[in-house]
Amino acid sequence: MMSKDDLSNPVILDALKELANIGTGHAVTALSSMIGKFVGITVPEVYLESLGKVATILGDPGEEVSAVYVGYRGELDGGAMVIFDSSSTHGLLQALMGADMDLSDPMALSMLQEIGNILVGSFVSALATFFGNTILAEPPGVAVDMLGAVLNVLLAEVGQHADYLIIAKTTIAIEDVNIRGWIVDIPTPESFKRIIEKLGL
Amino acid sequence: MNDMLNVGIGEIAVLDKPGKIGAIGLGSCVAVAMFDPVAKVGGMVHVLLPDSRGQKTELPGKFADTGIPELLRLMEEKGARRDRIIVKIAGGASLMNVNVGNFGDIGKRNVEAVREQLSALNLRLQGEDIGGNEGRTFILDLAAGTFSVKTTRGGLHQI
Repeated sequence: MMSKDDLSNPVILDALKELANIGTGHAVTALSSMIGKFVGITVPEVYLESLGKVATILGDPGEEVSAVYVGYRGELDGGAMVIFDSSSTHGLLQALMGADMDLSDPMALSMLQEIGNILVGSFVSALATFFGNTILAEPPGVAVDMLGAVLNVLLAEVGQHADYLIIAKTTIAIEDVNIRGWIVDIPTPESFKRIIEKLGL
Repeated sequence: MNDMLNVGIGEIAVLDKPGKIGAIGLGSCVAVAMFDPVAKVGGMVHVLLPDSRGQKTELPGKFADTGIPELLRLMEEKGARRDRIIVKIAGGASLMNVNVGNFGDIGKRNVEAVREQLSALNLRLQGEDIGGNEGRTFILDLAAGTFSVKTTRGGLHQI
C-alpha cells in the first residue's frame, strides 16, 4: 500500500501537472472544433489527498453533476473523468443541440457521453502518445448523479492499493455561454511512481 | 446538513451524543450504519471495496473486511453492546456500467462482502436501500434514532 510519504515528492506532482497539461490541451482542441467556440483552460492543479477527501477538491459531494469516465490501462493505469455541474450541463446541451434537454432523456445522456468521450478520449490518447502507445483506453461510462457517487467509479479503480492519491484537476470554460467543467485525472499512484522512475526523473 | 459529521470514503466515525452522521454521494460504495438505542451510540463506515486481501492500510474503513470489524470495535469502546446494535446499509449502486478494476459490478460485490462480514460478526441487518443505478446520501440521526436515504431524483425516505 502506497503511503503519503511515497508520493510527497515534488517531481511526481510536477510530472503529473505536465502530463495533465498535455492531455487537456488536446481535449479542448477537440471540444472547440466540435462546438465552434473558444474553450479556455487553466493551468492544472495537482493534489496529494486522502481517498476520503478527493470529492471535496471538486465541490459538494451531494451536488448533481454530469460525468463521463474513461479508464486506461497499460504502462500507466488510472482513470480520467470530465465533470460539468448541472447548469453547465444544460448550457452544453443548449450549445450543441440548440435547445435545452431534460437530463433524464436518454438522448441527452448519449449526447453527453459523446462530448465527454471526445474530451476524455483525447486526453487519454494524448497520454498514450506521450508514452509511446503503451496505454489503452477503456469504453466510456456516463452518468448524471451526485458528484460523490460518480467519483466512486474512478476511486474504486485507483484506490485499491493506495490510501493517498495524486490528482490533476484542470478547469475548462466556455466563457460567453457560461459553461464550466473539470477534467480530473487520477493515475494509480503505484503505476505513476514506476513510470517516473523508469523515465529517470 | 452543517451539523452533520461527514464520513468520507474509507473513513469511520462514531458518536456517543445526539447528532447526525452521514455519507454523502454513495455510488458503488456502501455505507454501514450502526446504532445502539440504549447506549445511544451510533457509527458509520464508508466502504469503497469488498476485500483488503491482507493489505495494510491507514484507512481500514476502505474495505468491508477491515472496516466493519473496526466500526464495531469503536462502537463497543464507546459502550455499545453487540446484541443491541441495529445495522442498516445503503449504497452499492451501479452508475456507469463500466467494468471497474475487473471487479465486474463493484456495487454488488460490496454489498455481498458487507453482508458476509455482518453475519460473521453476528450482527443482524435490519434495513437496507441498495443496488439500482442511483447515487445516495445516507444519514443516521442519533437523537431521532432514524436512518434516512436521499437520492437526487427520488427524494428522502427512511429505511
